[in-house]
Amino acid sequence: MAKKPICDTSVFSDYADYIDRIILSVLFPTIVLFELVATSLDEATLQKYERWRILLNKNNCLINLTTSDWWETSKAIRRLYLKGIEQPSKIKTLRNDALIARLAVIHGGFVVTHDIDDFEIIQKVMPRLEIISAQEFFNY
Amino acid sequence: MFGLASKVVEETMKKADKNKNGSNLPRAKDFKLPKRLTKDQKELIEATREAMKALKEEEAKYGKKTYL
Repeated sequence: MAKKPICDTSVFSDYADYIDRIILSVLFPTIVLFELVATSLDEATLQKYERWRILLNKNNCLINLTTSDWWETSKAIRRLYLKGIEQPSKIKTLRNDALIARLAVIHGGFVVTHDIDDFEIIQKVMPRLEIISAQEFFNY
Repeated sequence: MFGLASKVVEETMKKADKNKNGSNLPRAKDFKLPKRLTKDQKELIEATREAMKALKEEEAKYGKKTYL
């Protein structure tokens, strides 16, 4: 079975015209939906996201973190702090990305992102993580 | 004596680097929509278009969003 893509949140706006073509093949973390909804401003947008959420759920596209995923991701972040690989202020910004990365690893997917450097840091403590730049994924 | 072994290691490292940057992974063009779509799938595709349109409109109105 081919590996499935997981798009990082920042990918959606830049590749908005392509997302509908692959939506049936992607794994969609609820944390990405959380970030999109939490940063939306207009009521009309929220309503569209609400319909989208219902249909993503109906088509079994949404993936969620289990208790074990939270536990393992927190240990991975802890390893980053202990190894002193990055500044603590940088590691703090990687928490949501690490949760997305965990879902990719556990569901046999790969992360599509603009922030390759950030996910490469996470890769140091999640060696099974696979990543690809959004540009390479969409424009190849 | 170690010539072959070091060559194998070098090739493995090259392969690992190649895989690391995602060159072995599928691209968007590799994921095709099924020829026949269910009602739910059609609705999801339409809802995705609407959501993405709203996202683009918001960014045009308020500027690029910052995510954590």
